[in-house]
Amino acid sequence: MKSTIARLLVAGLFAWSIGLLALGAAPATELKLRSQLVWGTDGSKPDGKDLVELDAKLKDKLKALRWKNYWVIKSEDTRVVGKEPRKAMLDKCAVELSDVGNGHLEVKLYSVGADGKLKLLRTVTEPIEKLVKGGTLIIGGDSKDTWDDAWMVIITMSH
Amino acid sequence: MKTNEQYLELQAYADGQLDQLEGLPPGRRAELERMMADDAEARGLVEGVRSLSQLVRANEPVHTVPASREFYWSQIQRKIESAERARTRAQTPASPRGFWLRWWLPVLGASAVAVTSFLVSVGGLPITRAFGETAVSDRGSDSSGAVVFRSESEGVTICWLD
Repeated sequence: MKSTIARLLVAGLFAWSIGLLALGAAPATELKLRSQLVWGTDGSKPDGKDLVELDAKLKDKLKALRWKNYWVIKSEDTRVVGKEPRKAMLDKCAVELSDVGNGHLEVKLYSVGADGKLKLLRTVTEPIEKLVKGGTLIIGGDSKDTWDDAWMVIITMSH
Repeated sequence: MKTNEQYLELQAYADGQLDQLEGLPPGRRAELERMMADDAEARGLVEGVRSLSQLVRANEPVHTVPASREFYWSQIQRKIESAERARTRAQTPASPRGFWLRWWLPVLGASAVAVTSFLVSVGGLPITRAFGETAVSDRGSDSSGAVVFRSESEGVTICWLD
């Protein structure tokens, strides 16, 4: 009887250790993210620029912002695996995305200078679960060049 | 030629506020109406005031703010507070106490942020739920300020930089 219990205990411990090893060796979840640099304006589409109107579903989510038109300047899909940061270059700015490991995505927003150098503007973290469930992260600001217009970087899951 | 009092009464008549004039003698309305029937100048003044009033009402410019009301005002509030902080800093003379506060406050703030982040990471403090759909001031690790707006119903987080 005693030997049976001992065998069961050893087997249990072995299974638990294998489970832990398997967890440790499991590949990090891959996140497919879409970063879009968007221009918010009440004006019409700027002439001579190849801009695309923001997807209607996403535009509907921008109810807190009430510009009439949202034009996508640049869109880039990025695969983020684990803590290794991945950059998405978006015209005059860039975002660096990484899964910081506690269920949060870290987003670093950079401005791109005339010399191509990146300057960190802001670091924002967002729960990955929210994004996976269809959430949207927006980092933006008022335009310094055009009164009443705004720029924003919209981060969503890429489908 | 009319007196100032007569002009005021005619304007009040045109605006529909004659009854609110203090010390108006009884029967004055009937007198004014008789005056307008006989006097082209009085009639013209009343018509002019009425058409001006209509024009102003019809053409009053409407400015739609490019953000939700709470979000828009929180940005303005943040800018005012930021300007006030800058002014206070400029006026405050350096003191040993100020020196320690200047160095220890960021350390204490960073500790608070670290503890809060830890609590959030273990699911102990649902910050987003606590704030609900409101705009809150936020100051990150860098020097720039920002307003953070979260809408749980829309699943949207907006970080608006100054």
